[in-house]
Amino acid sequence: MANDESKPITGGNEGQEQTPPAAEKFSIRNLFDKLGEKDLMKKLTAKIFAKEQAPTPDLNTSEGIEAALTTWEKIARHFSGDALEKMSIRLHGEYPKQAVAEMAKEAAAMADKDAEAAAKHTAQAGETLKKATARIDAATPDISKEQGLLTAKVQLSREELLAKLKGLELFANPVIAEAGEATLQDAAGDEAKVETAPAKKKRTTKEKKNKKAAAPVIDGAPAPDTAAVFTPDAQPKPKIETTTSADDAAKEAMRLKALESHKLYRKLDKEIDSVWDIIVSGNPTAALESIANLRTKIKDQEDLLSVATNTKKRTPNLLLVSKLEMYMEDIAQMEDGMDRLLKKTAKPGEWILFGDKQYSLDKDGKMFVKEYEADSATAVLVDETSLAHFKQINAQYLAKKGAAQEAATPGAAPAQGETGSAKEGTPDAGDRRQAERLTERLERTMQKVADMTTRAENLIASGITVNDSLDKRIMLDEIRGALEILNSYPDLQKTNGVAFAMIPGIKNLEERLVASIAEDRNKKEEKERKDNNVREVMQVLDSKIISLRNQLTKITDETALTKLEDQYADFVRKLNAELKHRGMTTNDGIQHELKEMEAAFDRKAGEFTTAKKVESPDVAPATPPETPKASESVEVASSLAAEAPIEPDTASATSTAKEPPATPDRRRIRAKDLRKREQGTEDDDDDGKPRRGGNSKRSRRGEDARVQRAAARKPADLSKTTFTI
Amino acid sequence: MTSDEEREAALERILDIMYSYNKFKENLDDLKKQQQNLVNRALDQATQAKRNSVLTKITNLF
Repeated sequence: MANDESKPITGGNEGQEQTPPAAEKFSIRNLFDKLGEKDLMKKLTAKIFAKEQAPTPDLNTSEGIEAALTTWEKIARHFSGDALEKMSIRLHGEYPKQAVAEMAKEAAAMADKDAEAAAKHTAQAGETLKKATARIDAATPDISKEQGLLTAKVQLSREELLAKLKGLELFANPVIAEAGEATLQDAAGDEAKVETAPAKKKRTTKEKKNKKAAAPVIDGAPAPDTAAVFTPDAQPKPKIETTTSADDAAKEAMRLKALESHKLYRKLDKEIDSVWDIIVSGNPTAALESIANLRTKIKDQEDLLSVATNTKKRTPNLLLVSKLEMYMEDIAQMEDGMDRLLKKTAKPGEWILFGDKQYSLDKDGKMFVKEYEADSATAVLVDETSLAHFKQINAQYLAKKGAAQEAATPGAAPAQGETGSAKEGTPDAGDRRQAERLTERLERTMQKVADMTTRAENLIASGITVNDSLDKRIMLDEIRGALEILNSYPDLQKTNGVAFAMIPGIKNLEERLVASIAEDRNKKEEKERKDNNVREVMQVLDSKIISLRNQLTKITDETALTKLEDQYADFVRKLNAELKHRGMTTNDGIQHELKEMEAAFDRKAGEFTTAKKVESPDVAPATPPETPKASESVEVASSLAAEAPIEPDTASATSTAKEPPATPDRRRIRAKDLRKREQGTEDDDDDGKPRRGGNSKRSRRGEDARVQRAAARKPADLSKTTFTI
Repeated sequence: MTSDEEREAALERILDIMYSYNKFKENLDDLKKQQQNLVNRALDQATQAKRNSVLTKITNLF
């Protein structure tokens, strides 16, 4: 064991490290001040401004320095004060490489968290898109071309969204993780060097210069050491040393092989990510093939992989050991995920649409794939559901990855490597560190549970929306994860009573979330049933309204108009009865259609009234025009009458003699009544009694007689309500 | 003892990590904005579809 127990590897040893006083909190400004390296700041500032392609400020002036510091503060603002302070301590102490590793880890964790939040945001955006698609579908039930076009547009947006999502997920890790990896790579290189070189040998200044000179050259200028951070494939070049003995040559070969092994790990990291990428892209065939290839590759190169993990005389590199295990877990999880996905999202025989392919399973689970057919009516979009599923798997993957990185004690192995010390640690040092890590993990879990409890309560109280339901499922997953972690601690009751006391509460929360999700599902099904009801009623209503309008245009006398009105009133009664029977209330669509129909009746009645005025100019109208609109009707109807004189109709004349003609006033009153009735605020129309509030005007015009006649008619079948003039 | 060179290299790398994360964050925010624009566009399309539907229905009636 080469752990140097005399030197702290965590931030807890204040006895040996200079902890800044509370009043002197870390800032990027005092970082440079403390180091007393203004030249360094100038150099780094020039580098950053060059990257941003911005002119470098003049650092010989106070304004220039201020501009540079502001830029650095802006860059550092995402990191917590604690993390920066801890880094500063490491940097001032004897552990600069550990400071780098910790910052890389911090950045990677933050990036993962951001990516997860972004993925959630994407899932919500997907839900919104789905709603938009549904709205388009509902809005254009009978315009197939338009519907197809708009749906295709939304579908296109969705594809773009998925492409962005892929970008988000993959972008999150390589850049930041690369920083950590590059650091680890250096540490591993040192570690291998320690393995082969004399224990206390340190690199000479000349060697260091040689190493710098070997760095890649970009555009003729020497690239910074940090180029590895931004260049995925950049590797620290192995230092060629002149060996004078066979032992040295063997050691050098071993070192090179170790580097090769580390390189392979980095490659595999990327390949694993790209396989996840293929899975997310929604191509199961390619995903399954990639998973199989990955498994084969790891198996074939097992020996080379073991070089980096099985170093002699030293503690195995925990990070790499965990990684190897994690790779195999990843593969198992991918295969399991694909299996569950295919079985979960498709019913046997049903085609589902994801990405640009359609998939189907037979009853045995055998998969069929074909290209997406734009005119396919049977394919079911499964994007959000599948996406949520993928996200869950990916979230678990990311969580495991994070846990594995934590378990590897960042800096522990590199610390051994960088010091080059051959000192052995105490036998129980590893156990103690492991215990510390477990304690930290437990505390984080407890904090997470506390946060989750509030959010879960809010979610349960939020009622049903598609997003809430998705959030609840994600939350349930998190809660179960936390429960699993707490249960993994033996003797938790003794070691941490508070954490143990949380378990019943979490279980209760889990049960309530499960119940709430089930309730949401029921509500959703109920809503779908109601929507179907509305659709059916609207279809009947539409066809009836169209039929009535056609008949209305053919009417030439008031008797026929009255009959048609009666038929309409009869239809409305039946409609109300049907709505009541189905447990529905009227919606805006129904009310709008009815109002439109009533307006059409009004216009028709207006035509007859004004035509009569034109035919009998001496007869004073029973009711003078009340509104400017009525006057306009007179003008229009007069011109119509002049063009096509109305033939006298005996039947209608008789009818008119018995009951007064329908006037715009009367239609309006009737329309009002019908709407009231539709809204359930009207008295029973068939009782023959005056309605609430009375209406002597309507009674004078024979409305009651019409109502009685209508009531006496045997109600016709709703679907067969035809009318002949 | 840690040499000045080592400390300088470490600081340089740390600042590079910060810079790299900062760029990542900027890109992420940019992607979020793009995503929101996509959603807004889809919602506009849905609204347009609804409007077209009403117009078509009215046209069919008269």
